[in-house]
Amino acid sequence: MQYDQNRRKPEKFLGVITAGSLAKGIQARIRTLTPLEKIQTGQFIAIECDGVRFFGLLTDVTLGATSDSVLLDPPYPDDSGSSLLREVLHGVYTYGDAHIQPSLALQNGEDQPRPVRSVPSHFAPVFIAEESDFQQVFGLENIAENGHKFAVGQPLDMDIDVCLDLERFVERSNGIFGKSGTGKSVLTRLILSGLVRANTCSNLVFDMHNEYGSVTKGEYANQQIKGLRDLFGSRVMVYAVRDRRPGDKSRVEQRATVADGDIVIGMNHIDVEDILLLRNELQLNATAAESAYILQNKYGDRWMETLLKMDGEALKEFCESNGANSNSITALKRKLGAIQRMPFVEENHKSLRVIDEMVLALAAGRHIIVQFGGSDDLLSYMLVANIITRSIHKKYKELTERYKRTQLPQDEPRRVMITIEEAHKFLTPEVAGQTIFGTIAREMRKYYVTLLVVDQRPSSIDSEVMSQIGTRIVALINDDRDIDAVFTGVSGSAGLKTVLASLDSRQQALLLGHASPMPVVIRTRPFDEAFYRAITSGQSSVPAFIRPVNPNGNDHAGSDTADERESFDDWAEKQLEKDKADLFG
Amino acid sequence: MTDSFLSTQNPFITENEMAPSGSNQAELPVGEVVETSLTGFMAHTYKLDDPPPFGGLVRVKDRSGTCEIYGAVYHIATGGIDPGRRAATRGSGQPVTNDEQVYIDNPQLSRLLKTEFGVLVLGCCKTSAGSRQAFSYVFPDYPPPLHYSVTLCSDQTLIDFTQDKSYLRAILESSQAPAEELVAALLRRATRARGAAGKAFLVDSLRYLARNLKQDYDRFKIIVEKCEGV
Ligand SMILES: Nc1ncnc2c1ncn2[C@@H]1O[C@H](COP(=O)(O)OP(=O)(O)O)[C@@H](O)[C@H]1O
Ligand SMILES: [Mg+2]
Repeated sequence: MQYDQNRRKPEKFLGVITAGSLAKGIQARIRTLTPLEKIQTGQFIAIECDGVRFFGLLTDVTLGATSDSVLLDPPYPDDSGSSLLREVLHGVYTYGDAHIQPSLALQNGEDQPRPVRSVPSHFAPVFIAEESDFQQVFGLENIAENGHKFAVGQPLDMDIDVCLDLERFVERSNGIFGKSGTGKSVLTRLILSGLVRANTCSNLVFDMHNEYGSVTKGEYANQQIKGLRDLFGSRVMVYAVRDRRPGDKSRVEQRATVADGDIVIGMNHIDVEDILLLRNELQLNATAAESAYILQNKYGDRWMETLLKMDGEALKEFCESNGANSNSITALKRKLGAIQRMPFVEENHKSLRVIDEMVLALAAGRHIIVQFGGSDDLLSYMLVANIITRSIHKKYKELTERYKRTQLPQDEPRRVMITIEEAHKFLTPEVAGQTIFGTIAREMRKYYVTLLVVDQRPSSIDSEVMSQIGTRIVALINDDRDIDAVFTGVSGSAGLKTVLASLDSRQQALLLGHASPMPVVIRTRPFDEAFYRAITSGQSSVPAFIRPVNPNGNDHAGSDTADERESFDDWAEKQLEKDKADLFG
Repeated sequence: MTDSFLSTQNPFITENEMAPSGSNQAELPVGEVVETSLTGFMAHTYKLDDPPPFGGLVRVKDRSGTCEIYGAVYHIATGGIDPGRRAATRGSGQPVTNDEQVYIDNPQLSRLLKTEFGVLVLGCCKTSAGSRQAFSYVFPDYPPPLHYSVTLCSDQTLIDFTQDKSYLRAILESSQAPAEELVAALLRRATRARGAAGKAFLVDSLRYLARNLKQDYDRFKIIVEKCEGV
């Protein structure tokens, strides 16, 4: 693959390599005639060497001068002849250096570029990448043909798709970061649409702001952003966390939201771990947490119920006989009252049937959105997300272990990706070590469950978790600590930081990591009618997920007998087969 | 010769009055080599006060006839034939309306005076069967022979010769010529000869110069200023 003069357009020529290193990035002297103001950072670059083509990202342009005398006596605009002088000085006495972060190298005769391990030699010609380079590196979108390349956007200055490899994407936990309003949620919806369409994994979305399920208003004039349920019908199931108790009008309205089911949580399913996660929100101190453990040791899963029922006398007695601090136990009791009052919390709800059902649906290949009614109630959001995720993780651990034993292909669990907004709440350094989300982020793909964290404050996320993140999609961020956090564990990040700082404040993002062959800046694909058509075309409709009917007629509440439990499992097995057949033909 | 000396024009006026392009199509002999060397030569004009212009491109054939030697005019002087004698005043000292009248009144002057010009050799060009091959910007094998005629090149030849910028370096390095002035004069001519394409040529040439004068910004700046406003 000699550099072919005819292959590249002369106007794409940028300059020649003059200096640099793999660690710090390479430098190219910009060709005389290209006006510096036309050269934007963030562009995709190709470098042609003997037998190797390098690909990289233009991270910076610096101004230089060969002689100090020019800078000591520069041509001022009002000097005679200064315009001619300025023009002819440029490129010789004064020049621009392009700083390039190389990422991939394509060896002669191979068709897949590989991570770069060498540097181009001196004076190798440098070009602004053309369409064919993008195709070579990112491939062409093929999800309509059952592939896994999904176009997430276009480069800043070209109308060609930049594709994400969805199969690689779901192999790790991922992050979408950016300031508020930069388009994180729309971008998440976009990627989830790709995942649903390509059937790469099952998705569970904790939808704090009530935006993923059904249509929402966008910030552009008359913009209607469709939800995943609107686009994919019964492939996507919606579960609501809402007040089911009969009551005033607003509650009745809430009940009218479309939902495949309601989340109900029994107090017996609330673990000390769940409470610990809420420590900041509930303003519990460390001793209170300790006391919770004492209670749990003694009363098992009825610890909360028992505590809430204790009167002053009983409390005192408990403290005395168990060596607990009575102040902190009292505080704990008071704070837990807030949880008890949550509408979806029931006193003693034996089975988590609704959650079992969700696990089943996910395993069968459906996608689930857990809606929180848009009330921005962080406490219920965190509590529910944690409990559900804990159950799923437990279930998946079993499934994975079974698969390990049997090694039967049909036993391989269906991969699940859990999307959480406000992810830092679950992943701060204080709690990430103990909570289920921290565990999932660290265990990575081992149990077929990964995370998609969506967050505006990455600096609040535990750095160990950040370093495990496979693919990062980063919109504009201004805070230095957040920027540093986003690049935890990324080599050559200095250059990428300048690129990040130059993004538009909406609908632009830097894509890097596992699922993107190399870092690249994109204009995010518009989430609009054209996209709806493209993503749903050729998609067959799927019958609704049939839920088990409880013999006593009450869907979720009430208690299960051991018998019912067994029949549910039986039924589940059959339903799973049927549903898989529905979905995958 | 005498009958046409009245048409003599000042070389500097010639340069300024030249039309942007196309005015210098014919290649006419303008003088004869009177002193020669590999790096440059002196010539006398055929007509008094009718030298090629400063910065003009001229050529001389070599003795074999297969090589043309090219150079730029860097020096022009008119004086007495006899090197020992200076010209003396001829006028009356009264206010004059036409300075040329003195030549009309003293026709013998054209035989007592001579115009000489110096040429800096910049390159050569092999010819075969009357057509030119590529210019090479090196010294010829031999200097131009004495008494051979010197021809002022047409605009087209000037354009062709200046296409490659290497000739500029030879000027910068010469010790006998006023290098900055000569470079600027040559560039101005070559720029004008190109008409609309002149600006791009000028910028290109100056960039080439800049590359060769990286260590001497002040000198470069002087040249650019002299090229301004062609
Ligand atoms: N890809 C996109 N297509 C269409 N509109 C977009 C896109 N990205 C962002 N927007 C617009 O930007 C607004 C804010 O995006 P959003 O995802 O809610 O930001 P964030 O979640 O980062 O706060 C949206 O309401 C929408 O109007
Ligand atoms: Mg959002």
